[in-house]
Amino acid sequence: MTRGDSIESRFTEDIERLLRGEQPVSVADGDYRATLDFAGQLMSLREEPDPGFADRLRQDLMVRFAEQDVAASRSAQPSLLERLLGSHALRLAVVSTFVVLAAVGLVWRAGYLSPMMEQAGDALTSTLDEGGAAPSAEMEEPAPEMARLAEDNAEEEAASVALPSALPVSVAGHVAAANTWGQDIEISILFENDGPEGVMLSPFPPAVFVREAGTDRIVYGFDPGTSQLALSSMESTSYDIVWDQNDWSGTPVEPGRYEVDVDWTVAQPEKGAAVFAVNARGIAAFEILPDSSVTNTEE
Amino acid sequence: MLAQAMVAEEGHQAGGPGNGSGDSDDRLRRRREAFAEMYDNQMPGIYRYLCYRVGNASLAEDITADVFEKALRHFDSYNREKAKPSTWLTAIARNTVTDYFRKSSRVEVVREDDAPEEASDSPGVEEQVARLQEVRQLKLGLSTLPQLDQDIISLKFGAEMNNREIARMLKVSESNVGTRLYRAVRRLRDAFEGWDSDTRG
Repeated sequence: MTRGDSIESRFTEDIERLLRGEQPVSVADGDYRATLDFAGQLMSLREEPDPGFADRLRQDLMVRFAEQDVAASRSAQPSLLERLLGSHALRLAVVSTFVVLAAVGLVWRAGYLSPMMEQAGDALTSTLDEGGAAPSAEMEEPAPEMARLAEDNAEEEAASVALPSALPVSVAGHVAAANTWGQDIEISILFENDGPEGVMLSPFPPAVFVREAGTDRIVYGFDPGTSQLALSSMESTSYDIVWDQNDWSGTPVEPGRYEVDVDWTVAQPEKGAAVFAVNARGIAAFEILPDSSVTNTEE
Repeated sequence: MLAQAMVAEEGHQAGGPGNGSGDSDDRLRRRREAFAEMYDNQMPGIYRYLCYRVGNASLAEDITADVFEKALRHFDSYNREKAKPSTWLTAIARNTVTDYFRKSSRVEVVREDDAPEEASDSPGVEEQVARLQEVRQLKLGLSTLPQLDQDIISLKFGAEMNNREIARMLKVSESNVGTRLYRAVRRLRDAFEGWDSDTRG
């Protein structure tokens, strides 16, 4: 061990003694002593939190914790439908009924039942003519209702498929394709308003997540901001962040392939309340390499 | 997405179907108690660390609140076997303070409200002012050190971490932490002595 090493390790030990409230081992070296005394001065910068602040924050956090638990237990609770479907017999009955109704609806829409219904109508008319009970309107209504439901469903599917192309804002991520393990990774996210009208991005900055590629495992997330950003037509903006490759617990992640996801909403004030909630998955992908053989190509 | 993950994990931890609401209440209570205990044990250290980093009590309070709010949100994903509570929270604090400096695009360490106030007639005020000036100068001196040295001093004096923990957090060797700590304090001492003799002389 060199003299330098010895002084430095002794210094660490003495600092730790001071932190424990003990006296350092007495030393003759004047320079060392002066440095240690100065460390004592530095230690006097230590400020304890104000008790009022500590109590307020604790109380606030506990309230939030309780709210979080309530929200989590609410979403974990089965809905009425789920509870009903929990019964095997009931589940079987509901599924069977649904299948039969769907089949009837399809056949009805295909027109196969029309002649039969006409015949049935004729039969009912003749029954009426014969003084029978009036046909219930319920007999006629299920078919148009089902057709309308089917149409509604078709529209909903079409809308959900059409949504991404209707989105007036494009997003692209740029990250170096290969990165050395342990080094900071720069992530640049470009938002561009391709539409003819102004949009509002909210929140801005958006929530950004780093996910293990090909899985749903989020290893780290950057908190969203609390502001909004207006983008006029054809305007763009970029949001740059640096990820230190640590996960939520502050531990470096394993080498491997990762993707970047972005969550945010886009509002079109000129179109009233048109709001798109966007969860853009995999806007960029990159590799964390275990060694230093890195090629700096951009995706 | 995260909330779903959290709920899924909670369901898993709860031991799956068959758990009554009593068990669930117990589990929630235990989680809340664990978080409260972590807060009570770790908050002073996190606050002290942040005071060294930002050199300002009210800013340190704001960032401490941010740190524990983040910890609250991610408490379910925290794995005690992977990191001690102090390591986990200090990592969050480090990232939060780095984000703060990055977002604010400034390296403001000592704000004007830290400056000594005007002298009054009360006894001992001269000593008080001298002490405040000394504290301010120390904070300023600290802010002139390289980022890594600031981190080492803050983690050592504020968070009271040992060199091994600091080394793991900063991804440097343990001996490097010891060397840098000694040299940084010495450099600061030299700078401070220069300032002290200037102001006195």
